[in-house]
Amino acid sequence: MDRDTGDRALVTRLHRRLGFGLAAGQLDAALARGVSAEVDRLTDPDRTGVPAAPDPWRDGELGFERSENAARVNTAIAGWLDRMLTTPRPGEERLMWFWHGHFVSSAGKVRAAIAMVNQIRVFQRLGTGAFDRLLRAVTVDPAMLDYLDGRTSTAKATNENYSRELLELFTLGRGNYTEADVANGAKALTGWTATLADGNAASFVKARHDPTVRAYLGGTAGDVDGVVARVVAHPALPRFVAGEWCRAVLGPGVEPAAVERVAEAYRVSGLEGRTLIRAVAAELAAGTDGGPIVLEPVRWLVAAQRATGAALAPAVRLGLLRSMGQIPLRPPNVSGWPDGAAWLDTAVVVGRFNAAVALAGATPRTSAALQAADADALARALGLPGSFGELTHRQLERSAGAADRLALALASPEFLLA
Amino acid sequence: MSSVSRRRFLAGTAAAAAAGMLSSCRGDAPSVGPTSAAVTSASSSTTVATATTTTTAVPGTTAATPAGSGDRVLVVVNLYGGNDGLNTVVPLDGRYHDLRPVIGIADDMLVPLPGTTRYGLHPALAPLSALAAGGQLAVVHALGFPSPNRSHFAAQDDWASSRPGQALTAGWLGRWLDGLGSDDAHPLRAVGLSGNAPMVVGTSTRPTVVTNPAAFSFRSNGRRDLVSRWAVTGGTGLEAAVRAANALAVSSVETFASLQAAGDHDTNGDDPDDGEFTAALTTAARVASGAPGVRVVHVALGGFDTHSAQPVTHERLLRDLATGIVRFQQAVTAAGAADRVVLMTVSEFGRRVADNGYGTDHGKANVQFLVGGPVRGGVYGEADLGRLDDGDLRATTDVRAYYAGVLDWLGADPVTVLGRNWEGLGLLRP
Repeated sequence: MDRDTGDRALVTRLHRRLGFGLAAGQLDAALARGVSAEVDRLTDPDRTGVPAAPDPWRDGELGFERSENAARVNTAIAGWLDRMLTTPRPGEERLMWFWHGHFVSSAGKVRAAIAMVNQIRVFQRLGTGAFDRLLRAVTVDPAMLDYLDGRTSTAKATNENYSRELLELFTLGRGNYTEADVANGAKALTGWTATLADGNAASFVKARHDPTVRAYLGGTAGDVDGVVARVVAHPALPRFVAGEWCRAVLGPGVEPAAVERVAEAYRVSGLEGRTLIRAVAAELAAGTDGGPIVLEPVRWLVAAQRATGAALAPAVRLGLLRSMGQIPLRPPNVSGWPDGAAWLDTAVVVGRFNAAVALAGATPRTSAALQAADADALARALGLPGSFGELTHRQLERSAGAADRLALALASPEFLLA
Repeated sequence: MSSVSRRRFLAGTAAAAAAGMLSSCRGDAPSVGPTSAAVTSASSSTTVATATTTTTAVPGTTAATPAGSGDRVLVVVNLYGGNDGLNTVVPLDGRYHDLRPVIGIADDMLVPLPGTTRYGLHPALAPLSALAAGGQLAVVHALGFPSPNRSHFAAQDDWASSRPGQALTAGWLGRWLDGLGSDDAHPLRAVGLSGNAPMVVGTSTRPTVVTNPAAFSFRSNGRRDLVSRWAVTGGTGLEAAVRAANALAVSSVETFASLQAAGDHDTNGDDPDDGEFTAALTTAARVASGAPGVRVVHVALGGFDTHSAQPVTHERLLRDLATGIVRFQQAVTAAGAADRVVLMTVSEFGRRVADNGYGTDHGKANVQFLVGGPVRGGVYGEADLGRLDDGDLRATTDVRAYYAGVLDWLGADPVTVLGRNWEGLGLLRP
């Protein structure tokens, strides 16, 4: 493999896995900057001087009005998808998308668009910093207090919902806590409540709090700070969080040794998000390979739009995502979206094919993806690591029209598997 | 089917569709050769294998297909989130009210459950009492595994695999279907109507997922050849899996469309006022009744994780459930398939006996329903409030015994699928 071929494979893979794919015409510039510069730009945009994208949400449009909420959620979703499409900081957006699928809340239950948006802002503000600050903010985040019922949990009527998922899904994983930890954590977290209306906010109501200090994760806890402190001190945490990131970025079959390396860097840094992401990116750049990743519909669609320049009206875009089974701010349950093979279900396959046809039809005639002279040029225009495989290549050669060819390329395994 | 003949089959269906030939494969004469062969071989082989067990099957109502377990269909209704079984089928026991001072349902609000004086139904389940009176509803209380888990995801995996505590590698129904062989399988042999259905995923078995029937078609702007050119199988690893999924989508879209078209002529068509779940169950009835070769249909109703605001949420969900089940049974009966289609509910766990205010946290054993013509109606198992397990209902009946009887009825060997012999509960006539 010559250097240019190798660099293209790495740079495109970095962008497809740690970003939302390369926008049309960005590949040459990225190759000119080189692999390590691209890692820096994706994982540390502040230091590398990449401008921030403006916040896409106008709070005034998202105010709480129960009868209007579904439309407001759609506005919020459109704002986020627009930023994914246009941001000069795709790595930062990827990070928010990861935490959204990790610390799950859903507009299906949280009937206030503004609360969902503010939770994504928490991920943006704190997602690269120390995990204890992120975790504390998530624990008392209004959307989370609503989604996992903390806001109705009191000393007298204690609700275990958040306490359990905190340990099982967000921080430690099964096998690292007991039922007593779930029950005692729930007691310690009582008293936090939230309003979801305009200017939604969390508050601590002392009269609702159970102040008893109880055994928790090998130590004790009697309030939110005690819970967060015990969780972040638990030895299982770095590996659990690093494992989630490694499987998402390096592949589902990532070797345990690579997870250990990333977890160790994360632990030594004091659980700093930026260090975690840089360690994952370094593994990717060094060739650590846990197998291909099936791009979930949101990233697949945004990558296709970035590469082709296809413009879709918000309602059309939302319809395509619905037919593929994934809508931002509406994860199906507290464990977030499934990964891998779930996106190969027939319903998703049909939706994705139809979306590919729609995208090809919405691509400007001047787009490199429609102007490509042959299959190799098309692969390059779409920001793929290399040429199409034999089967896809043959399909593309048999296609008469450029739009047909583009639809088949977007619907190909090569574009789906990052 | 070899990859070559599979490709030929796919090319055949796509070409037939392009020519507008594939009108219907309902009944005994599918119009496309390879599909016809697949259906015939699947149903005839299983019929032979289980002919001795069909002594009491009612012949005649499904003239299009031979009577026998080979055309029996299971519809699984998955109540995600952990349905509160104690407020679903309520024990008439004073301890219930002691433990549930806030969300307990007063005895005089309960709907009588024909055949028992020990339990009453949640008021929203009133539509089910006619089914119970007709002997078409079995209620199985306090089902669970011996080592229950209060995690949604661990418990869902246990129910899916039937192997508690082990990593989920294949679902119990997926393993059964694996054993039937993957060659020549009907594209709708296993169908998921509410997204992914791990219970029905095997080593080689993957259900056809149809989340929105109206959107389950290829829209290629008149360029029909695009679809057939795209759905070529081959490659290795994940690429091969993607291509196989594409090919399955093409074959199942055509078959599903013909089923839907046939269903449009039914008197029990879709009612625009139906909720999403009732619509899904209506589709399930159509799929289960309409195509020989269909064996399992999976439908989900989510939202049962009622940690808070339970009374309102649970009432709405149970009303949806009862409405859907009644509509389902009407449609299956109208289609003449009532003697060969059975519906079973599953749900990962029950909920804590004591309420937490206006809700309930995760618990253990739970109640389930089995519905259909072949069902022996009645109440099975026991919810014993005097012998709790850390504040939860204790399982008195093993989930695998529930599964074993259903497998036996389907013509499967329960020992092969479940690993050992489980005494069935006698819920189904043979």
